[in-house]
Amino acid sequence: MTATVPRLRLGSRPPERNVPANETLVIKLRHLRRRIALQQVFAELFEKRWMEPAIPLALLIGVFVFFSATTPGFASQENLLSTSAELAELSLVCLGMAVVVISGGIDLSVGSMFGLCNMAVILLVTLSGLPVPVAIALGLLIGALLGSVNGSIVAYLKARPFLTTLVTLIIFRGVLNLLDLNYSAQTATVFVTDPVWEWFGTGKVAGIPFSFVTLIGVLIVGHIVLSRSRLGWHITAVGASRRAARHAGIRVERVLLISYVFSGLLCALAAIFYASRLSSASARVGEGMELTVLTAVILGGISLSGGKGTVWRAFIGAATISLLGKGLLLMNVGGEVFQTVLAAVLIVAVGLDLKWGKNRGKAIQKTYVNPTIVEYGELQDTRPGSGTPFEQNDRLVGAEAIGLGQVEGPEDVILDKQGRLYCGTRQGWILRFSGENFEHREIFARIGGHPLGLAFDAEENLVVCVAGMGLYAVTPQGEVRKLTDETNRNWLQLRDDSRLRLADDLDIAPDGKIYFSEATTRFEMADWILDGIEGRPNGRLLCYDPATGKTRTVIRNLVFPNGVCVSHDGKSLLIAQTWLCRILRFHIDGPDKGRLEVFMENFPGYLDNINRASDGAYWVALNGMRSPAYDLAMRMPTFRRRMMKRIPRDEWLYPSMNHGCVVKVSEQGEVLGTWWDPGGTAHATITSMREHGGYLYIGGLENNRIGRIKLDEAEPTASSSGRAVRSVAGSAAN
Amino acid sequence: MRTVHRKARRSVAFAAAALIALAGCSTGGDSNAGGNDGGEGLPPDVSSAKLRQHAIDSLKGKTAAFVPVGLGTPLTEEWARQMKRGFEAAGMKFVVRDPNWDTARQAEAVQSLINEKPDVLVVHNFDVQVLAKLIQQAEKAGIYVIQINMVSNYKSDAFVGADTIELGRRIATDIVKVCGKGTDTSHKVQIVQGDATSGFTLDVMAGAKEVFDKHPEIKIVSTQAANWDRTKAHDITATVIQQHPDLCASWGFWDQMQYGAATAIKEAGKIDQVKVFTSDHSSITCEALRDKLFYQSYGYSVPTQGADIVAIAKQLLQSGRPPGSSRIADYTPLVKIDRTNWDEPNMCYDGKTDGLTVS
Repeated sequence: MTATVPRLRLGSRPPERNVPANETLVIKLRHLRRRIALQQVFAELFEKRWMEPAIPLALLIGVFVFFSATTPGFASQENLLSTSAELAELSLVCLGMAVVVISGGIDLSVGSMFGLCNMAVILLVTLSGLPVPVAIALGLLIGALLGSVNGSIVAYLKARPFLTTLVTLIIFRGVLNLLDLNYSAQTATVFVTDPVWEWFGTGKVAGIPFSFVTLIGVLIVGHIVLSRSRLGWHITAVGASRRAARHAGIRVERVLLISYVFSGLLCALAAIFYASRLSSASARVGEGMELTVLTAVILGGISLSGGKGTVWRAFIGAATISLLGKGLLLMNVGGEVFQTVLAAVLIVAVGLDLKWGKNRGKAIQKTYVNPTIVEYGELQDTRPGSGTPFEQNDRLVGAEAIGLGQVEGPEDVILDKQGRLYCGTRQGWILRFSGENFEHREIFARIGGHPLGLAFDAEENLVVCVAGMGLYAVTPQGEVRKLTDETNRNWLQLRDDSRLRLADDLDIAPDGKIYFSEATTRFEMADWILDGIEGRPNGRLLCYDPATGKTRTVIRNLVFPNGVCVSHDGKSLLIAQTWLCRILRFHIDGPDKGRLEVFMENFPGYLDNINRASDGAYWVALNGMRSPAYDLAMRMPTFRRRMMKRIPRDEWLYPSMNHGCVVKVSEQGEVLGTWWDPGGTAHATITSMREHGGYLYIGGLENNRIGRIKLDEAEPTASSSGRAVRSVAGSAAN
Repeated sequence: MRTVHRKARRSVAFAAAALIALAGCSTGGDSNAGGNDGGEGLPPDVSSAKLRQHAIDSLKGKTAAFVPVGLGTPLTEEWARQMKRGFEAAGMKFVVRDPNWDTARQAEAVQSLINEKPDVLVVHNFDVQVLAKLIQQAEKAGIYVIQINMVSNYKSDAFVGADTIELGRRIATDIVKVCGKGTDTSHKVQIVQGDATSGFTLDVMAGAKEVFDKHPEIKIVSTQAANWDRTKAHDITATVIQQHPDLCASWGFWDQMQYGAATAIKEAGKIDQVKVFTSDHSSITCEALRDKLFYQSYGYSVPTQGADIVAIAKQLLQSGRPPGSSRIADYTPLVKIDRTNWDEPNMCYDGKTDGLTVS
């Protein structure tokens, strides 16, 4: 029997913020207003990979809209259809050029190849007497051959692509002129009425010119080849870094040859369409085309330095140029103006694209963090002698140091049945300390990422939340197994949150389900503190069911859910929320199943992990303390935004993370005691604690040791490392 | 004055032609009376007011479009200027699309005009093939198509231009006169063509062939296509003159282009020996004749070609005949211009001024 994952009950959820006692409507509205974050939408939009060609695409749309508005007849169906036939030819050549440019080269001979193939195909069709399909196939072959001439010289003779193709531009054009002089007058009077030829020239599929339909096909195939196939990756790799590609074992020469052959082949295909459409066996065909094509490719945003670009970008560039030319033609603007406009557009577009490429990251960075209002209740006094429950003491002074200097960043610590101590480290390892005084240190497992929360399941597997990776399990033998790294995606937002970014802490319910928190879906481990400056509900509670292997999001939109702990009765989860300084209780079983409520709030510090104590209470780690100044800053989102904009990052006001304590709270939500290390010399940031055998073990995200103190009041046999009370029954039921 | 006379004469001729056409049609019955309110429907005794109304109705608000191979040369500018003047005076709209010497763009321009459906389309064919299908499409779409000076394989409603075959014959004959049998020359002739597939080139070559075939002593040492480009003509000729320093004549098919060849010959110091033949009569011809670069040229009344097109378009629009049903050719007079008569009035044009006299 496997119980279903509890679903959050509708309407049973407290507001995802600290609600002051005497809240007015104005404050409520302020919160509401701050919840809307257009800037965030923009930042997330800009972050999308498919936003990279945003400028070229915007330009294309701009050109289209401009001419539609100003030039009558531009947006008409007839015009667009006839433009599409011309666009198809240009695009095919651009595509060939794009492949070569992506491979790190350049092909200046496209215009000549286009002209030569056009001439060759017309000669074959009109004078040779060959059947049209054979002539077309031969035309393609000629294109491939011309491309292979370029390719062989560039790849095997190691000549520079620019010079090589400049030379072949002249040679191919020369051959073309020769053919023109000797044969083209004879072709001039021949009318070809072959249906295949006619189909290539004027055929339509569902009203769309055949050439454009072919282009779509070529684009799709090209996209798949370039982005999904080995060859495509090789081409990109060679273009990005030829040396690295060679070192990686890629046959660079062959890849280069193939990319030039592609270029020749696509030129030939374009020329066939051109030839059948216009039958113009003129030596002029394709003259100066290399410049137009190069302009289109650059306009589309394909980097001339190679290794970057898609077929869509080539198409966008070609379409922009094609529509621009058409629009200007319809506006009765002279040909020389067209060249000037083209140059101007190119300069503007390339400039913008450069700026865009350069500053997109910066823009995202500037707008990505979107502070909102976080209200706090009255800050309790923690000074010695204040008499409050949080009064500072020196109970952690003199804590034993385990693995001093041998461990980096043990966020969580746990002990197994044999009393061996485990912790994660910043290197992505799980360390194990054994021996009487934990003097023996070994690397138990190497997972990667940054292992955070730890828990043992019924089979003594160590389940680990790994920041940047997901949820992993390590068998007692030290074998690492991925449990999950994704959950169901929230389709209501732009950002794909299906991957786990910052799995933080976990606990295992009596029925074996693993509940774990993902602190934030917007920031990486290195930037987790930015989530605090933002203060938005970016985190979530997830549940991995080992029985089905499925992961579900149980509660989304939580403000930094950090520690997760199953209650002593096994019927609810306690979720510590760092930035809200409160603990939630989520009922996973019993009559209240699915209800979420506030368990404790208004802690004087930021909460981290939470664990069961042996006496029915809970241990809570405070990794830092609130301060009046920062509380005020959290109430003022515009202030924080200004701060981020105006001053360098290392001068920002951050939540204080350099002094914390351990708090013990009862099932009823009373503070039972606190453990402090005044001055924070040994345990500054406390992120976790684990009670075992009468000792309390203390971990810290930035610490170089694990601390241990003897607990006077604890029963020496009990352990908080184990699972909740009903665990045995639960696992039996599993 | 001469132009005026000529114009007047031509107008009379056209009126006559139109009358003949009308007469012919009216006997053909009223097969298309339902379509255009045809001129053939007007009886001979129609009142002047009605005739006037018919003429105005047939033209007013109509659009004429012109697609040259490229603007920016006196030839095409002059045509555009004359047509603009004529069409706009008739209350029509006149648009020009400039493909700037790009074959594909010319096809695009014509294609987009077919979509826009002007009433008259004037095309200056790059070559005999490129617009052939499109002209057919245009006529099917109900557009009268008039071709100018360079003809297409597909003949449309009207052609206006030089009688290029005759032009070829005449120039070839002139060349035979100065380089042929009985002259103390090498008999070597260089030919600088326009685009090899241009209607102009093909026709002139055909005319030339007729003549040269009868004069085997003429040695054509080079026939190359400079594609109407002055630099290309210069470069080709510079090589030819090196290979054949005893060249007798250089014949280029267009004055703008041939000027480059003449320059190359002059650079080689052979301009007194090599006689430079060409055709067309833009101001560069008169200047080159003055400067003794050209030997002779043939003008073909470029300014009136524009006016003729307007007249033919008017006739087509008023005729009531459907597009594609006429085949009219209007060959404009060929006038020889040489070093003796270049400075007469109206010998040359510059695309900007009326009654230009080069001095």
